[in-house]
Amino acid sequence: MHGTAGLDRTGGPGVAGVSVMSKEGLAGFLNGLIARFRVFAPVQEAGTTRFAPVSSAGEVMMPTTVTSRPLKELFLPPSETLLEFEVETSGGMVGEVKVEPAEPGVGDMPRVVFGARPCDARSLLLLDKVFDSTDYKDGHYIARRRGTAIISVACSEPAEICFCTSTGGGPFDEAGSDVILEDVGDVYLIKVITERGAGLLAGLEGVVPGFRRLSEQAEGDALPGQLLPLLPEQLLAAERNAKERAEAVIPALVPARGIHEKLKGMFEHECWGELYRKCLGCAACAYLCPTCHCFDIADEAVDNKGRRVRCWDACMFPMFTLHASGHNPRPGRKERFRQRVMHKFSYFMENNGDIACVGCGRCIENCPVNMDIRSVLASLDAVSAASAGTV
Amino acid sequence: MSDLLGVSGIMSGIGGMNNWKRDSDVNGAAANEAADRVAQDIRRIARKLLSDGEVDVFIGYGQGTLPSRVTPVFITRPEDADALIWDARCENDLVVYLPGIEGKAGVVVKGCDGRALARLLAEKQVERDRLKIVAVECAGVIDRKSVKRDGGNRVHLHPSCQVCEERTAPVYDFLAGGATGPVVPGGPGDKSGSRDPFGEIREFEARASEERWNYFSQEFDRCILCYACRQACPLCYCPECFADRATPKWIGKDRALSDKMVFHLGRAIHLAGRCIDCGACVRACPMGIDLRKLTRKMEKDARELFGYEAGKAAAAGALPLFASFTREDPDDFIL
Amino acid sequence: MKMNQEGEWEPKIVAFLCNWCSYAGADLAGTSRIQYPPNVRVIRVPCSGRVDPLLILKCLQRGADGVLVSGCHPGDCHYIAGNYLARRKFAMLKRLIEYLGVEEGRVQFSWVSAAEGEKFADVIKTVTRRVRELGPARKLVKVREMQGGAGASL
Repeated sequence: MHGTAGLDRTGGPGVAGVSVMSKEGLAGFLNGLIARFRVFAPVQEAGTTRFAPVSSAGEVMMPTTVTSRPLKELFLPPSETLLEFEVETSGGMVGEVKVEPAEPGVGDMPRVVFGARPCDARSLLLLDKVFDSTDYKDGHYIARRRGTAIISVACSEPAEICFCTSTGGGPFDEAGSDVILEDVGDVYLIKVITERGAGLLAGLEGVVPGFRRLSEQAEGDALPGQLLPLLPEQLLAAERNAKERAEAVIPALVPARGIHEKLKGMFEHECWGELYRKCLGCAACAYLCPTCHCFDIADEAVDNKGRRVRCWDACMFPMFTLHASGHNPRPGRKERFRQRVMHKFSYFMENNGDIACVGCGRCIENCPVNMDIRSVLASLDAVSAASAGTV
Repeated sequence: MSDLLGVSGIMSGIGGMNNWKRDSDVNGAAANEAADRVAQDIRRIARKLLSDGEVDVFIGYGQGTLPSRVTPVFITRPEDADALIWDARCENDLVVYLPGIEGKAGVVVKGCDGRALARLLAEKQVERDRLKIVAVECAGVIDRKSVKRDGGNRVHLHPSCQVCEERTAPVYDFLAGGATGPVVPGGPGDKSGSRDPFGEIREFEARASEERWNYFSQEFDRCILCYACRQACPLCYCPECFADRATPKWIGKDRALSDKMVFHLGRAIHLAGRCIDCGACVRACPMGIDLRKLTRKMEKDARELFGYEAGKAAAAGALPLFASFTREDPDDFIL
Repeated sequence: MKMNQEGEWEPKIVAFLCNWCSYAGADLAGTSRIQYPPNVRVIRVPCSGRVDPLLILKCLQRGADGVLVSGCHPGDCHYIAGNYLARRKFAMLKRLIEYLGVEEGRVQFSWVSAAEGEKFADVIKTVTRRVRELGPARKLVKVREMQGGAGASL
């Protein structure tokens, strides 16, 4: 399990790459980042939250839960121009078509994301399997990915919708992050995960008040706001406690990772006819999912000029598979609902060796009819194996 | 009346199921008993309808997976009727499932859902003789989003419930639990005239044109085109929505603000004289877009210009607003 | 955006005219040599009742500075009631888009009979003057978003 592997380090190597920061230091830390990089962080937008560029620490909404909108939109935007074209016309005749490939937002790089949750950070590793694989390299996606560093904030208080521990992650999971910030009580621990992460923090130590390397944290040397001076080892123990507490909040394991073998034989199972029924067929789940990545490519043109756009699409819509002939291989909501579950928990595993779910719970939070993927999986798991595969 | 009884106890309810499901949070202790009576009656009726073969499926509410949520359930066996519940969290408009349903169906309807059903009957989208309508005298549903926004410290009725004028369906076969008690002033069914149901719209109309434009631009810019509003709407039953059409392509694929606005304007105009303000669209919207600012405006104008009230008991079977006319309709805006 | 020879902006107005009355009225204006502004692009439709509100929104989206829908006078519809049905839709649509914040006068409606060549010219003058006062459309306009400020010709 990827998630727990990362934290084993705390027992052994100890303080290397770990810093400590007082809570009051956060604003200075953020402003330090903002002074050096283009920082994206959670901001409030009329009752919802999303990652957006920030120009001062005051704009940042220190997340208590995942943002309403997923981190994926910084890498796979809802709509992006792939190329622009112009058809030359003269005397009513169609001439040359001039095509200009669009720059994949390179001008916006490099960027630093602050305040991603471990589930969102992990989702990027899953998207990488699709857009940066040996089979296919997506220039736009890769340019954004390479140009973006991720500073996550560990989840000390997971919400009622969270089930990351069932999907291979965890509230303190480091996968996909360059740096992770952990609330361990009255101070933050800041852990460097990658070299890029080390580079991010390089200029901040000693500049930001209340921020220093754990190795320099001497006995009796408390930070502002820190109630008890703690030794590095004690801080690492506090971290373990915080992590265990957070994991304990997340309820029982959901059969998410182990179900792919069983699902293989369940395509025609009658249980789908029951499971899908309340689904309304909207795409709130898919669009807010940090790993759903299906898209449509369309031309938007007026007269002789236009552009080719790639935009989010979702398997929950009938249009997604509608053929020009009028035939639709996924004619109803049952087939479309089944597709989404199968893609996430069976096909993606088959193709990419992991499930396409990080347990962020956005689909649970936002489903208008409380279709809870946890109970869907539990139901699929509970269906008798004997009836699985019946046609 | 918008902060119906600021009940601080709800905070504990977020942890445990119990407080969330109590009507007493919004309507006082007596409402608890009334809700229990309604729930028992719904179960009794469903059980009987299913065992007598009067319906093939009974659509009602069951316990959801989060303390704040219930979930639509489709009951096909009499012994499963015990899963049916009724309380102030039963927000979904179940009528959305009726067009195209096979066989005979029973359905639980609040006042607004009943108005939606009346429209579907008038528009010939469902067949009356294949339906068993189980009405409840609704005391309003909790607006879980605003409760969450307030950190769980206050309980609000859904905005639609605060301006609801008819709390019981215009047509039904059963009234589960019978009459639940007098109308709460300012709550669902209050027709006393002590409040202006369109006050919020009037206030908005009075603002400057640019201010309104900026407001709607910000609201619709958040739209992610997930179409949850459309899918949750009981009156959006078109087999192919104009937004999905390729020829002509009404809505561009590139998610320009203009496209998002045309979608929402198009939807509003299609709902003119049809929207019954169940609030399903705003509850479904994951981006919290103020969709009722448009649909309530259409309702208000239909009433002011044509005296038209969609799905109300007095005119439940009326022809659609845009399929009828009078010679005396307003003409003063025409050159 | 359309410019005249002096480099000044000229409004572009789409006029949906019903085949039986307003289109004939426009014809009469023409054959009677009545002068009216050349800013309208006429689209002939069978009946004002055929004009889907979406068509009006689409015109605005594609950069029209104004939209006019004109049909037979009440009681004169070739299809008996098409204009009565249209009247309800237009009353609601007009209020809706003005409520949204689109300027009053961008979208207008008129009844012009086949005998009213003079009235047709007057309506076009009135609508063009109003749209000219309002200036180039920018709300709901998508082509400007797409083409960096240069509205494509319709």
